[in-house]
Amino acid sequence: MNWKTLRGFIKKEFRQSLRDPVMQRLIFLAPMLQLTVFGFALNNETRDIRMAIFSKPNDTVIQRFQDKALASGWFIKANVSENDPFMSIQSGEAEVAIVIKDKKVEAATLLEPVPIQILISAVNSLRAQAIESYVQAILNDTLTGNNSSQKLIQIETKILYNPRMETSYFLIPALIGIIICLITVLLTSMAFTREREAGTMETILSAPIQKWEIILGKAIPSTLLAAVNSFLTCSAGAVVFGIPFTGSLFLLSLVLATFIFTTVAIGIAISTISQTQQQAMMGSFLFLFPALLLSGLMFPVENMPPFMKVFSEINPMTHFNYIMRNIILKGGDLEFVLIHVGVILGIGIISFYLAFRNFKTTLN
Amino acid sequence: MTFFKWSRTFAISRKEFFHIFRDPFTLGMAFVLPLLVVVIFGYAMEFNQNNVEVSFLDLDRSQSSRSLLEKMSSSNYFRLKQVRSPEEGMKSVKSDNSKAFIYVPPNFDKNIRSDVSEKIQVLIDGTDSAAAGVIQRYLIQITNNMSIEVHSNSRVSSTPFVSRYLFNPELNSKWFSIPGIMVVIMAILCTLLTSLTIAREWEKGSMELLLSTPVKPLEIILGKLFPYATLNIISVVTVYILARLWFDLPFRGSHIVFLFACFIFLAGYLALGLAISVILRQQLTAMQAAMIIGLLPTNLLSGFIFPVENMPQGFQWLASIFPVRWFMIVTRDQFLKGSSLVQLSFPIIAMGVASVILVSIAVVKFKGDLD
Amino acid sequence: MSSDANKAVLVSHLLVQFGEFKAVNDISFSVDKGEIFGFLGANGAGKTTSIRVICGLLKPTAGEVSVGGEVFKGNGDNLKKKVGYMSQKFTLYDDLTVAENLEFTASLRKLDQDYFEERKKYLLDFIQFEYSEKSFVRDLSGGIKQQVALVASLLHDPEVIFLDEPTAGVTPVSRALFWSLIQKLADHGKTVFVTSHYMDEVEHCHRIALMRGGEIIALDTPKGLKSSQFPYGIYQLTAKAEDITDIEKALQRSSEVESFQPHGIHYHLAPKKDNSWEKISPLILPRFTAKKIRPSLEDVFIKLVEGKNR
Repeated sequence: MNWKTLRGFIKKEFRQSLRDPVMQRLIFLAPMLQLTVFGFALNNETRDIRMAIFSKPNDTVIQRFQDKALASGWFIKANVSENDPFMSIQSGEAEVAIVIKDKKVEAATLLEPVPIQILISAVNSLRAQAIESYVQAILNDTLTGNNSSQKLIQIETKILYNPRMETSYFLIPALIGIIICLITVLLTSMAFTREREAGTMETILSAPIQKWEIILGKAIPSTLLAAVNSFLTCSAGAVVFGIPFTGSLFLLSLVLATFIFTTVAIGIAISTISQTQQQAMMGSFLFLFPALLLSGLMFPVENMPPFMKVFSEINPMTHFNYIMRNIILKGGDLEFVLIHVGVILGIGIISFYLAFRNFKTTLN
Repeated sequence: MTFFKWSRTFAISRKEFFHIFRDPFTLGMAFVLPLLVVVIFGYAMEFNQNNVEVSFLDLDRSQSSRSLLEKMSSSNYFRLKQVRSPEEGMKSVKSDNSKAFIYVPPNFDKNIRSDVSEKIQVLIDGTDSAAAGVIQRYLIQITNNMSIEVHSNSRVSSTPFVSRYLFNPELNSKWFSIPGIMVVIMAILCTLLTSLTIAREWEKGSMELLLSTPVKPLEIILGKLFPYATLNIISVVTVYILARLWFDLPFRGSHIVFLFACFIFLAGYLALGLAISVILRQQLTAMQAAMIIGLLPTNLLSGFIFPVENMPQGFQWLASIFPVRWFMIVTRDQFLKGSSLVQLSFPIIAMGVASVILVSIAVVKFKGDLD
Repeated sequence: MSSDANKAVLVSHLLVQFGEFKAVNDISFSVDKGEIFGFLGANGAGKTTSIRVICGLLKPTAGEVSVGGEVFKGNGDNLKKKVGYMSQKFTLYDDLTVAENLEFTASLRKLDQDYFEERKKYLLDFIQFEYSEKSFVRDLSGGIKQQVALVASLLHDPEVIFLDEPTAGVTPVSRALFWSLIQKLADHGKTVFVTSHYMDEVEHCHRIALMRGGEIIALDTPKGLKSSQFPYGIYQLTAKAEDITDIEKALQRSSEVESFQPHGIHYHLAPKKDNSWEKISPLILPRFTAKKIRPSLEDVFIKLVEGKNR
C-alpha cells in the first residue's frame, strides 16, 4: 500500500479550495451567516396577528377580551379603514375579525344568546388554525372570567426538552444538516467534472493510479472541510442560540461523520455521472431541492401520503434531522440513533458503490 | 451615436431562443421540473397534524377517563397507544415513538363528579416546537369542551362563538402550498437559468464578441432576458393550468393583475440572475451563488412556509429585499382572495422597487464591466 | 525477435471503435528507441485517439499495443508506468504554483521525495526555467506553461513521451524553443512521440506517419515521404497575367501532371513522369515564371490528405 498519491491529492485539493477567496467565503463565512440569519429569522410561533373588532361601543366584555389579546403578545390591533369586517380582511388590513352584531356581550342570556363571529383569513391555512385557537382560548378565558376553578378538567402540560418552545431548537439542527449538505454536495459534485473540463483529468489518468486513490483523494478533503464546518455550525448553535447539547458528544460526532460521509458519497456519485460542470450543478440541485423540502423541516413527514413518504425515507436529511434532534435535545436514545445512523450509512454505501462503479480510469 | 433599437434586441433574443431550444437541459428545467415539483409537493405538503402518536396511562379506568380518551382518539388528531408505566411513557417520547404522553391520575372520575378540579398531566415533546404547539392546543380544546359539558357554564353557552375561515374554508393545505411552490419555482428558474447561461457566455468569450459590435448594453441585457422571461411565463401558465385543473384551486383574482405582477417579479429576478453572473463571471461560482440564493432565501425567507410576520423586525426588512416575499403575497391573494390592483398596491410597489434596484445593479455592474 | 526488443512502441492491427464509428481503423507501426516519431493528420483523423490508447488512457477495441515490451493489460497501468503524456491543453492547475503542480504529479506517480527533488531540479535546469518555483501557473506565458507541462510529464523518467499537439497556441519563438527541447530529449535516448499540424516543425521528426480517416496512409522519413510522393520534384509557378482559368483546367486534366495546386500566390505543379516537365513546359512558360523547388511536407500533406478527397 502506497499512500503517496492519496496524500498528494489531499494536499492539492486543500491548496486549491483554501486559496480561492470566493471558496473561503463559501466554505467558512456563508455557513455561519446562513445559520445565524435563518436561525434568528424563522419562527413557527404565530405572532403579530392583525385583529379587528366590530362590536357595539363600550362592550366591557369585549374590551376585556381585547386587552387580554393585546397583552398576550400574539395580537396587534389592525388599522381598519372599512366598516365591513369582510372587506377589512379582504384588503389585508386585518387577518382576523371579531364580529358581534346586535347587542353587547354582557347583555347575553341563555334565552337570547349573543353569538360571536370570528372571521379568519385562511390564505395561510397553518396560520389560520393557530389564530383560531388563540382567539378561542382568550375568548374562553374572558367569558369564564378566567376562573380556573370553573374548569373541572385542567391540563397540566409540560413541554419536554424545549420548555420555552423555541423554534430555533427545531431549526438549528436541521440547518446544520442543510449547510453540511450544501458544502459537501456542491463541492464534490464538481470534483471530477471540473478536472474533466479543464483537461487535467487526462494528466491524472495518464498516471498508473487506482480508482480508490482518485475517489478517496477527492472525498477526503471535502469530508474534512465539512467536518470543520459542522464543528463551527454546532458551536454557533450552542453559543448564539443556546441549544443545549445534552447528548453524548461522541454520538453526535458519529452521526455528523456518517452524514458527511453519505453526502460526500452522493456528491461524488453525481460527479461521476455528469459530463460537465453544468450537469453536475443541475444534478446536485435535483438532489438538494427535494431533500430540503422533504426533510421534515418545512412540513411534517408523518402527514405525507405513503408514496411520498418513501422519498422522505430515502432522504438522508430526514434521518439526520430525526437523530440530531434526538441527540441534541433529548440526550439520545441509543437504539433510535443507531437505526437511523444505519439508514444514512446504507444510503452512503450505495452511493459510494455507484460512484465507484461508474468511475472509469480510462477515457472511454 | 446610436440609440436604443428594438431590432437589435430582437436579434439577440432570437439567437438566445435558438440556444434554449437546442439545449434539452434548459428545456427540461423550464418545463418538466415545474410540473414535477408542483405535482410531487402538491401531494406531499400536508400541514394539518393528523394521527399524532400519543401514549397514555389511565390509572383511573373510569367512565370519565375513558370518555375523555375516547374524545381524543375520535378527533382524528391523535392515535392513542396505551403504556403500562409512567417510565414507559417517558421512554416512548424520548425514543420518538410518540409525541406526547398523557397521564390520567387515579380518582379522576371521583374528583370531577364531586366538583373538585383535577389535573391531567401531559408531557409533550418540544423538539418540534410547531407540532408541540398544535398538540397542546388540540388537547386544551378537547378538555375545555369536556369541562363545559360536565359543568355547563351559562356565560359560555349564552355567547356561542363561531369561527369562519375565509378564502379557504376547508383549510386545504394545497390551496396554501401550491401558489407558494409556483412562486418558489419561478424564482429558482429565473436565477439559475439566467445566471448560468450568461456566465457561460462570459466564459466562452462570446460576450466580448457581442460587446465589440455597436449593440448597446441595455439591448444586450433585454435581448438576453426576454427569452427567459417568455420561458418563465410559459412555465407559470403550465403550473397555473395544473393547479386549476388537477388540484382544483380557485382563482379569484384578475388574470391581468396577476400577469402584470408576474412581469414585475420576473424583471427583478432575472436581473438578480444577471447581476450574479456579471459579478461572478465564472460559471462555477455563479452557479453556486445562484444555488445558495435560489435555494435558501427563496424557500425560507419568502413566507412560503415560515410566515414573514413571525420574524423579528430586522429580518422582516431583510426578507423584504427579496421580491419573492412580495410576489408570494400577490400570488396567494390572486388565487384565494382576489383583491384588486389598488388593494395590492403596496406589495406590488414594494416588489417593483426591489426589482428596479436589482435591474439597476445589474445594468450598472454590466456597464462598469465594459470599461 | 531481437529487433523488437529495440522497439519503444509496437502497434499492430489497432482498432478503436466508438459505437459504429471507427476512430482508428487497423493501424500497425513501430517506433525505435530514441526516435522522434511524428503523427500528422487533420482534426479527427485519429491522432489523439491513437495516442490515448498507447498511453493506456483508452481501451483498444482490438489489436495490440506494447510499450517497452509491455502489453495493454487491465486498466493500462503497466503502460502508464512506461510513458509520459502531455495533452494539448498543457494540463496544469492554474491556481497552483509550479512547485505544487509538480509535487502533485510526483504524487500521482508515487515518486520518492528525494528522487522527485532531484528530477525537478534536473528538469527545470533542462528547460532553463528562470522564474520562481513559487509562481502561479496562471501568471506564466503560454510557452512557459507548456515547458512546465513537459517537465511534469517527464518527472518519472519515462521511456516514451507522448506529446499531443504540444505547440498549439504558442508563439513561433516558443515553438522553436520547444522543438530544441524535444531534440535534446531524443539525444538523451528518449523516444518522443509527437502529433502536430504545423508542417514546418514536423520536419524535425525522424519519421512521420500520416493519418487520414483513422488509417495510416503513409509512413516514412520526411525526406522519404517527399521523394516518394514527388519523385520528379515540384515547380513553383507564378502567373504572369491575372486570368489563367483556361490553362489551369488544361493542366489539371493533363496526363503529364501529377498535381497542380494553388499555393499562396503561387501554384505548385508536380510532373507525373521523368520527362513530363520537358513535354509541358512549352505550354506553361509563356504564361508563368517557373522555378524548380524542393517539395515541402506541406505539399506532401496536401497531396495525401486533401488531394485524395477529390
